[in-house]
This record gives sequence, structure tokens and C-alpha cells, in this order.
Amino acid sequence: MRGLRVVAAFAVLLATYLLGSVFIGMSAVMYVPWYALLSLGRVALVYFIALGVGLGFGILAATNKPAERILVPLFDIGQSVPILGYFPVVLTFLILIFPHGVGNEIGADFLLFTAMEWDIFFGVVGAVKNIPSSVEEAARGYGFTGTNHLRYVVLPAVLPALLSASVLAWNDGWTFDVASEFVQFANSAGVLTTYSVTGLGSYIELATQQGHIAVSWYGVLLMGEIIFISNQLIWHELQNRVATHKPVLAGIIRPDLQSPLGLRRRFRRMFGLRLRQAAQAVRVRDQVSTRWLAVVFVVVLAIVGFLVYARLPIGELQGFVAALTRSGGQLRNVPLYSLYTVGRLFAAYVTCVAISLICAVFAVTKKNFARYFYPLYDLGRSVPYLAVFLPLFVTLHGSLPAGISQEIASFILLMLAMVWYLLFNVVTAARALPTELTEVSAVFGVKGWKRVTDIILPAVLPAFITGSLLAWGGGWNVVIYSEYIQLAGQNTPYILPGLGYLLDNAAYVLGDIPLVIFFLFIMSGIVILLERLVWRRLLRRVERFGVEFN
Amino acid sequence: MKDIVKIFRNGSEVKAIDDVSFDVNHDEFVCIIGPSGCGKSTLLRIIAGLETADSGQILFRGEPKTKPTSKVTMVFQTFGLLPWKTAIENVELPMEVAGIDKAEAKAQADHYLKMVGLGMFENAYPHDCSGGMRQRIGVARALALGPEVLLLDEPFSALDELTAKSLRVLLLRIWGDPALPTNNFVMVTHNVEEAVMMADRIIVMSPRPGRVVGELKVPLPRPRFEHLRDPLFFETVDKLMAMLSSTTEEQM
Repeated sequence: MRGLRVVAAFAVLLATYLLGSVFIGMSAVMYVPWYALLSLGRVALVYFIALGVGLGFGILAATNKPAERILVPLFDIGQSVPILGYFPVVLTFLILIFPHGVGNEIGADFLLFTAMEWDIFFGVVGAVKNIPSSVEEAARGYGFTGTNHLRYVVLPAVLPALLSASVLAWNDGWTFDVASEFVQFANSAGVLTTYSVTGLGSYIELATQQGHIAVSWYGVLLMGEIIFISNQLIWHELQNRVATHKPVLAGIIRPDLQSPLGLRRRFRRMFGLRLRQAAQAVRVRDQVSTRWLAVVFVVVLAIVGFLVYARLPIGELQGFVAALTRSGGQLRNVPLYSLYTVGRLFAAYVTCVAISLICAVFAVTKKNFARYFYPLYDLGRSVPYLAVFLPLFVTLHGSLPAGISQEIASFILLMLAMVWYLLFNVVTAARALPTELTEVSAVFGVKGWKRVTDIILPAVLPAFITGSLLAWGGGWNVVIYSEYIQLAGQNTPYILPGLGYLLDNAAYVLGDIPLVIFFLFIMSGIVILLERLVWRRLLRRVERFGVEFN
Repeated sequence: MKDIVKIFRNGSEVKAIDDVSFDVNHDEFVCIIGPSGCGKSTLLRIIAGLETADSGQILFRGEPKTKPTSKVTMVFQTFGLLPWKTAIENVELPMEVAGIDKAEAKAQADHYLKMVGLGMFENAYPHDCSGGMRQRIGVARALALGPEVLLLDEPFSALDELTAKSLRVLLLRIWGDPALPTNNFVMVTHNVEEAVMMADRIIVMSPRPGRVVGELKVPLPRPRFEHLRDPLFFETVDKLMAMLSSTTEEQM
């Protein structure tokens, strides 16, 4: 059975390759397998690094109080600062200190690492902290210490959470592959600079840049297939194996949910782990004092403020004017542009909310829903949305004005980045609605709209908020990407007014590192404020009203 | 009122319940007892209309009954309260659904919450309540529409013994209250003493497939609390125990 699936997977990839060589041309697709292998190697390598770092520091943070107080806020900051926001700075810096090719490669790997690390780290911390005290006591009683303790207690306990974090990390890694392999911008003089490393991502981007849109879509398709196949062959397989050792979630699994493929059951298990993990990660971060974080923020603010403003009034007037026109002028736009970016995210978010709540209602009311939903979810989750963005923009631009095309492409990009978190959490919470509540609705005749407002929506609320928190995090990461497009042969970039544009412009065109850091700081500030003031607060408030899932 | 309950159920692979029939008479308190896996909870759900029998039927006042009605309500093992609603909102819910006027529903809910001893806790959320309080809310909700039959699915098994004791007293008082229309109780339990203490008649079931293997009229006079030390109580308990252990021996 397993061997058959592997053969089928390779048959699909081979067929895609052959069809590509027939319809697109052998010369265009000849080296694609090599590019795909390079990207695969890159994602896999960085995944293993992220795994090692996440495991090591995660276990350390979960078992050692002083380490926790330093590591958790540190990783929390890492998670809160949008990856693509600081990528330009890091890349410029790396290329400065390393020879060209090496700097590029390290930059790409670094971006992938930051896309993968946080889920793994917080997953591990949560899982270690969640080891039942009775197990720990038993282990101590039987004299398990050091490596034995690690090997027989900690690692097995961490495994399920590690796996579900790995799925997320692996998919995020592939999603960011495009952004990591290809960066192109024009400086203020209009000179085009391209940083790229060879791989499937840069293949897609290059094809788009050269106007071979069919080739780009072909690359996107291939990347989607690789993601889908690796999810099926590696992660689902591993999760099935690990899930058999997990009696913890037995309460969620209802016998009527069995299907020939065991698909729904599997998703149920995954969901249990995942929802808990998300909630746990939030809790872990909440437990640790955030005073440390505040201190770091004040220090950074002071330094950035100094760097930005020290150059303004001091020195001759000429310098002042130069500073204002060259970089300082950008500061005026910050409030309005921040609003634009938040508005963009909000529009996509509202659409995702509508979709997922409707799906939640269907998940409860329609018997067959899960059968169609989870495979579709699997497919949709495999779409490498960052890779879709540029070809989509160029395709739309074929018949629409640039601004509108970019807005639409950005909206779709944000939807694809946000919707899965919401859909998965909300739908699976709806599916996991305790039987007793379903029976209560039936016995007391709660039907129709009343059932939606009084039973289904309140029941999915905690999952909805967890999903929202994750969705906004995911959205911030990619919104920057959508606001700045530099195509070859164009003197000026296509832009959408927003923080992401300001950031990219400051980094690439102006080359003004303090300004970049300042914008980055503003952006992280908004991210952290939204998360702390809105989502975490809401989550804590509704958590006690949540139904118990086990 | 004469309730006739009759079920035949033939599952395709596993016979959960096989050819079970019994009547529940007016004013009667019936307990269904049996080891786990005998299908007693499923049976109760079929009576409630939550599940359908593969064959056979439930007759309520001579009419076939297949769907949940406001005349037959249920108290759940783990309470089945909506965690996002306060005590009084939980009790109001069935009345809202039945289209009863808001003020009227509130007054009724208030009345029933007072009856179960929770007059002070109307605005408490379930997560602020102890298990006993939660089940009291569950009982108030089930009574709110004035049902004629109350189904109880192991209502005390998620509670500690002391709390369970006081709730048993409460339920017997409600059952015996002539002012209430609800005087027909069907309770599922696996607790022998509990069954003897509460029921007029006990139906004993055997597992795999679920069958009625015996019936026992409880000869103890009421109020039962005054007779819990009688030799007759212990004799009845022993008799029931013997019937139960014969069901488990049969399958070994």
C-alpha cells in the first residue's frame, strides 16, 4: 500500500514534468527536477536545523526557569516581528560580510529558518510542560535521570506536538521558499539588483520576470505537488504512527466518524494536538513575565529614536533637508500607511471569517461535510501562496490596471495565508462538538438559526479566536511581500501604499538601515499590540466558557 | 396515563439491544440497571428520540413516538449545560425555543431554579458552579417545560457520593410532588443501592446483546430514607445483586 503511494507520487511528478516538456518546451523545463531537488534540499536542511534548535532550546526553556525567562520572550519577539520585514536588512548585511554567493545562500536559509522555527519551539515547550506530573513523579521514583529521563520521558512526550509543529514548519518553509530564493529591487538611480539562489522558487520568479507566465504557473503547480506529496507521504504517515500511541484524545474520536481511509479520524487526532498546542503556546508565553520584553522594547525604541532623529536638526541645514527628502520624508506617511496595511489585512480577515463560520455551521449540520472538507483542506494548504502572488499579479495585469491587479493579488495572497488557520481550527472544533450538546439541542428542540447562534457559534468561539491569532500572524508575514513588486525592465516598482512598501523602499531604494529598523519597530509594535490587546485577551476571556474537548 | 415502551433493535453487526419490551405506568419510577455495555443508555436515547430503533417502537400514551418532544425530557450524565450561558439562561433555553414569552420564561426559570435550591445562583456560569450545582441546573432545565416523563442518564455518576445523596433526595421530592406534572421517571444507573432506594420497579439488563433478564418490584415503603436500615432493603439489594451477577456469569 505504502509502496504503491510512493510510486503513484513519482508517477504524478514525472507526468507533470513530461507534460511540461511537451506543452511548455523542453528548454524551459529541462533543469526543473534539479531546481526542485535544490529547493527540497534547502527546505529539508533548514528544517533539521530548526528541529535541532527547537528541541534543544525548547527542552531547556521548559525545564530550566532562568533559561525560560530569557528564551521564551526572545522567541516571542522572533515570532512577532514579521519575517519578511527584516529580511532585506539581514540579506544586505550578510552579503556585505560574506562573498556574494555564500551571503545569498545563508540569507535564504536564514529566512526559511525564521519561517519554521517558532512553531517548533513553542510546540516543544508546551509539550514538555504538559507532561503529567504523575509521569514525572513515576520517572523520578524509578530513578530516571539525565539521558534516561530525556529518552524515555521527555522525547516520547514531545513527539506528537513536534510532529504537528513540523507539518506547519514544513509547509511554511515551502511557502517562503520563493521569497528566500529571489529578491529583486531597483535603487534610487534605477539600477536593478537581483539576489537569487538556484531553486524552484527562483525558477518561478525568474520566469515571471522574463514574462514567461505559463512557465511560472507550471512551477507553482510543481511546487504545490511537491508540498502535497511530502505531506501525504511523510507527515501523515508519521502522524498516523504516533497517534496510535496517544490514548489522550480518545474522547474526541467518535466511532461514527470512521471512514475507509481513516481520514477523518486522523484529522481529528491532528486537530486535538494542534488546537491544544496553539492554546498551549499562548499560555506558555503568558506565563513568562513580559517585563523583560518591555525593557527590550524601550531600549530598542531609544536606540532607533536616537538613530533616526540624531541626524535631523544637528549639522548644517543642507543635511537636514537632505535627510527629510531622502528618508525623513517617509516618516509622515507612517500613520496613514499603517492604516492601509491593517485595512488590507482586515478585509482579507473578514472574508476568511465569513467563510470559516459558514463552514463551521455546515460541519455540524451536514453529515457528509468532513468527507469533502478535509481532502480539500489538504489540497488548499499545499498551495504555495507566496509563489502564486507574482504570476497572479502579472496575469491580472494583462487585462487590468496595475494598482487594481496588485490589490486583488494581495487580497488573494492574504486570504490564502490566513484562511487555513481559521478554517482548520473552527471547522474541527465544530466537528468535535460534544455529543451531549448535540443531544441537548435535540431534546430541547433547539433548531435552525437558534442552534447556530446559541450552540454552534459559541462552541467554536475559542477555536475561532485561536485561529484568528494565528491568521493575523500569518497575514502580517506576507502583506509586506505584496506591497512592493520590482519587475525587470521597469524603472519604478509596482507598489501599494502601506507599511510593507515603506519598509522595502527604505531597505532597497534608500538603503537607510535605521529607517528600516524604525519601520520594523512600528510594524512589530502593531502586531504585538493587536495580539496582546485583542486576541490573547479575548482568548483568556472565552477560554473558561469553552466546551471541554476530552 | 399509560406509557407503553417497546423496543426491538437489530443492529446490522452488533446487536446492541435485542428485543427489549417493557411498560412504564403512570406515576411510576422505573430504573434500568445493568453492567456496562448492556445498552441501557442507548435504550434511554431511543426513548428520548435521540436515536432510532431498527425495529420496534416507542408508544407514548398509545401513540408511536420517534422524535424528541417537550413531554419527554432528559437529565444528562455530564450535565449537558451550555458553558456560555448562565444558570438561568440555560433553564430558559427550552422555553425560548418553545416560543414562550420572555418574561414568562424568566419567571418560570426562576421558579424552577428556586425549586432545586439555586435561587441565589441564577447568574452564575456553569464553570463557576460545583458538579452538584450544575446537575441541579440540568434538572431545572429538564423540568422547565413541564414534561410528563423525565429521563435520567446516570445523573449522579459524575458526582461525589455526598452530593449524589442530596440530589437523590431532591429528585424523589420532585417525583412525589403532586403540584408538578412530571411524575414519571425512567432512570439508568449501575448503582444497585441507588436503584433500590429510588425505584418502584427495576429492570435488569444483560450485555451483548442488551436484553431484559429480569424485573424486580421494590417492596420497600416510601419515604425510602426512613427504611434504608431495614433488613428488607438489604434483602432487595442482595436479590438484585444476584440477578446482576447471573447476567455476567452467563457470558463468561
